Amino acid sequence: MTEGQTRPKVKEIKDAYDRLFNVSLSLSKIKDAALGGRLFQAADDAPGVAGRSLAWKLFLVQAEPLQTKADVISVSPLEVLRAARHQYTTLLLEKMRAPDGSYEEGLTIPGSNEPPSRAAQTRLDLSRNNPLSLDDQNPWTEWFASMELRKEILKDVERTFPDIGYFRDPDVQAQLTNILFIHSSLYPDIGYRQGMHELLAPLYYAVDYDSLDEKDSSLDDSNVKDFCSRAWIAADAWALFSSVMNGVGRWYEWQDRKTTEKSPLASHVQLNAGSGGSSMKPYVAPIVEACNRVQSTYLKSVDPELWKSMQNAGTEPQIYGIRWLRLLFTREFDMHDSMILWDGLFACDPSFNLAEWVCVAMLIRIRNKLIPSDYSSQLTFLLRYPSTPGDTTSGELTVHHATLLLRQALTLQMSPSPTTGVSVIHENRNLLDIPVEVPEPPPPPARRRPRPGDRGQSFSSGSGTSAQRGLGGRVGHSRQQSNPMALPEMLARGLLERGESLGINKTVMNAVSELKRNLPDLANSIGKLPLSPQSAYAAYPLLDERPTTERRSWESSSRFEVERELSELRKVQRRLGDSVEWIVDTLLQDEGDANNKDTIRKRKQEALESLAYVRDVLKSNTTDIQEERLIGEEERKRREAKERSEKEKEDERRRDIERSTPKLPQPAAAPSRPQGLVTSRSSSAISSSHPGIARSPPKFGTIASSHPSTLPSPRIPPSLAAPQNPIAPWTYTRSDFSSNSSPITSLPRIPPPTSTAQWTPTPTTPAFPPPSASLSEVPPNASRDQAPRRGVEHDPLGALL
Amino acid sequence: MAEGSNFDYLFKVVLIGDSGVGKSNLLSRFTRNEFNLETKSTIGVEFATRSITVDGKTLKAQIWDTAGQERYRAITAAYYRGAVGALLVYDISKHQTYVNVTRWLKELRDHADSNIVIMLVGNKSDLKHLRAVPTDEAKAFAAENNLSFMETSALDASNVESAFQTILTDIYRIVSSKSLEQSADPIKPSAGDSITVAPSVDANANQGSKCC
Repeated sequence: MTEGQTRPKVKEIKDAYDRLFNVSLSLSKIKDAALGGRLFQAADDAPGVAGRSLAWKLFLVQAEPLQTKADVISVSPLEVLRAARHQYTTLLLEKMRAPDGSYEEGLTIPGSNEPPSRAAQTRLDLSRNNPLSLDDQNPWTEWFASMELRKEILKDVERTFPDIGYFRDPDVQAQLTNILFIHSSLYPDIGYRQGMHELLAPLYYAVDYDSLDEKDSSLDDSNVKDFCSRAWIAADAWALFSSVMNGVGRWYEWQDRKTTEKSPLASHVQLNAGSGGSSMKPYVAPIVEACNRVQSTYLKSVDPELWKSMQNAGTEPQIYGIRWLRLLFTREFDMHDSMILWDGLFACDPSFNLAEWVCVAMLIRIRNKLIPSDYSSQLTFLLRYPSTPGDTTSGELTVHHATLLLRQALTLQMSPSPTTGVSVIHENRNLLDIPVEVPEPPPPPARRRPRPGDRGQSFSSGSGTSAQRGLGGRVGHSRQQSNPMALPEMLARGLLERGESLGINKTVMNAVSELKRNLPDLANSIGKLPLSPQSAYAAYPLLDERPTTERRSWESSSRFEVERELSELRKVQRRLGDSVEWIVDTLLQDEGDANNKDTIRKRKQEALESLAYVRDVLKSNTTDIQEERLIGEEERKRREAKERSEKEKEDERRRDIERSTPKLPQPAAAPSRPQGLVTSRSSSAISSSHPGIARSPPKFGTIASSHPSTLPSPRIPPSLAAPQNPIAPWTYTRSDFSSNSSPITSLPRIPPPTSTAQWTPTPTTPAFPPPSASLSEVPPNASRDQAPRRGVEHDPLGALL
Repeated sequence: MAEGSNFDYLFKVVLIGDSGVGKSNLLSRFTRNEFNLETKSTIGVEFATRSITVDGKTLKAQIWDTAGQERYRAITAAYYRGAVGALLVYDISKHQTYVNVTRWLKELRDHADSNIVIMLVGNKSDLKHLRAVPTDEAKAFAAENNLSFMETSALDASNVESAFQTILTDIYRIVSSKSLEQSADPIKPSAGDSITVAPSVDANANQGSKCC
């Protein structure tokens, strides 16, 4: 450090040393303090903190990772440090030596005051070893390449923290360049990558800041002097840097090791891994994986709303994640704040996995800015990370915002759940004055959103925007009607856009703020909640909110509702999947067998109809599924029977238990159950407690031929089904409702089943009731549903789409 | 952010070129009229927007800047996706950066849309006494490769405005003529009327079927 720049007083360093090494605190206590921001009491405006590099040395430069007592190792980190210093000197002598054994002028080897002596070369083959030799093995070629590398490094080192005068010192720059050069020659696969210089610089600065002159007579503790020796700044910084790069280095990795060696091409030119051999797995850089993990896994699990908004905007995590992670946030926060972050990161985890969670916490902190933003604005916020509001408003902040970030990252890492996400959001409100409510998005340009009146035409598109249009189409309908209609495409477009498209005040976090009041209690109870596997809502136990009926129609859905919708969706998807599974099985049946050709044909026909229905469900974003249309008659009956027999067996078992209980003397009474669910057959089945006698219909795919006459639903002959007028409502098949001019609101809905998903409550109702029978049950606006059905091959969708 | 959404076209333009040729300063000069003699090296991606008016239409330029040393491994796809223009920057005082222009052209061919509008930009034209790349040579090279060409100085701001104006106007002309043919594709539907320079899938398909 040049003169005029201030280092702390010797006593401060000594005190810091004593605090770390001579107070017999356990290492974990010290790390705790570092994580909690209690390690140093620094003035906020000071550029450096006395003793910081000592703590870093303690955390990072360790020979044995399992040491726990700081006092035990008060000598041993020094030993490790000495070894590292020795290693650095050796490396410097080796790597900086020109092929003729000379060294560049001005190179000083730490620990010695004399310039390095020219190494004694025993014998030089001058035909090869001379700067002008064209021999392939001319060592000078390598030397010149490393000179180039040093130039490249210096170019960045000169641009390191332009606003901090310390780094303009040519001597400092030379040392930084040396360290980076040594490091990159040790790891030629990665080499020097831009950004490493900004990781090294703060380390070097901290070491220099805490350094002591060994000749200083005011201090007689030789251990302290040695530990903080000014002569070894570069070596110590290199040791710290190497440790940091052990964890962070993977984020700089940029090419498959093997291809690096093979590729004779310039580094700009990248070979597509796929072009060489199609079996090769494409190389995904670890930094990209890390970034994807941050956004698509971590963020999604703790703040699904924010994740969705970023996903909808198309924001790719590597755009911001590269810089955040590679530089460990030094560009996102000012030096003082990012060093607090570093304290915690260094203390807690040499693999720097916590850094990915810090990213998540950073995203959550600016969620109010991100969620209402479009792509450009999101990128702007992410690439110019806004300063934390708590900074300016409340001076007496109890906890530093960087420390808070670390704490939140740790919490999120430990329990990555939406609940934790909500608690972080509330912590931000309480400590940083960041409101919980997401501000209303700016009014989007009018042309981008179809007006409600346009919806008639807007259904023509089958593209990703249909969900959005579907939502637009529901404007003005009551809440009951605007049930969540969502399938994956809609998730992509975003549940959040609903609020936007309704043009209403967004109160997504409304219920959550209520929840907040009960949070401490809830947190206790969550652990005790019995999570029954059948319950789709079990994953979201925090249903402490007003029931939907109490909410006025213009209020938007709450976070937990959204999550519930999601789980409902998953359920629907599973059911659709089951259906498709059956359809595929059916369609794959061999028609060759002449005996039951017709049966199989019929079944295939049925399967096609079910398939058409599945398609319609998928397209129309409905969650109300008519179970009986998902699978064919026969299969359904078979499943119901199986269901029943299982149920009965279950009942039987229960009764057995009841019988064995003396207090309950009524053995014959089945547990009370809605009458509609228990048919008369069940009582007969009850009598047979043996599984062998229980109804077990043949498996459809294999012995289906034994039920040739189980297709009772009346069928319209194809001749009657020919469309007279493609637009007339009566010509719609049931599978048409997602097509061109049919608004989604007229979608036929049967009342949602009251039982579980597997239990079909209407075993006595034919799957496809004849029009007369169903008229009384179906809502009036479902008129098309009763229209004569045509075969799927006449489906007009293809023509209309 | 609300005021930024009033535009007729949104164009994504990328800045490429070797490390230290002045890409970031070109960006800051154009979008914020700032210049810094000592800027930090770009890590990952930088991004800024500015709107200009051409023919009464508002063109919003979304300009992306990345590290010169970045081999794009990590961000190639994201960086070039939807880009309709590229400023390929070299330093007139450093010959090597000009030599590497061909590499960057290849990079563009490999990863960007084939119809991307490219402009070759010789930056640091204020360093006349250090000139290592003759203007005529670069001009000829640009003509050979169908690139437009301009020498700029982010330091004294000469030609910066006009370089961006030129490339944006070029893009606008292409897009507006293409959109008459109904072949324009939105880059990102949610970001407004962003238009790619119409990769003409049909034409390619036709050619393919002829030769096979």
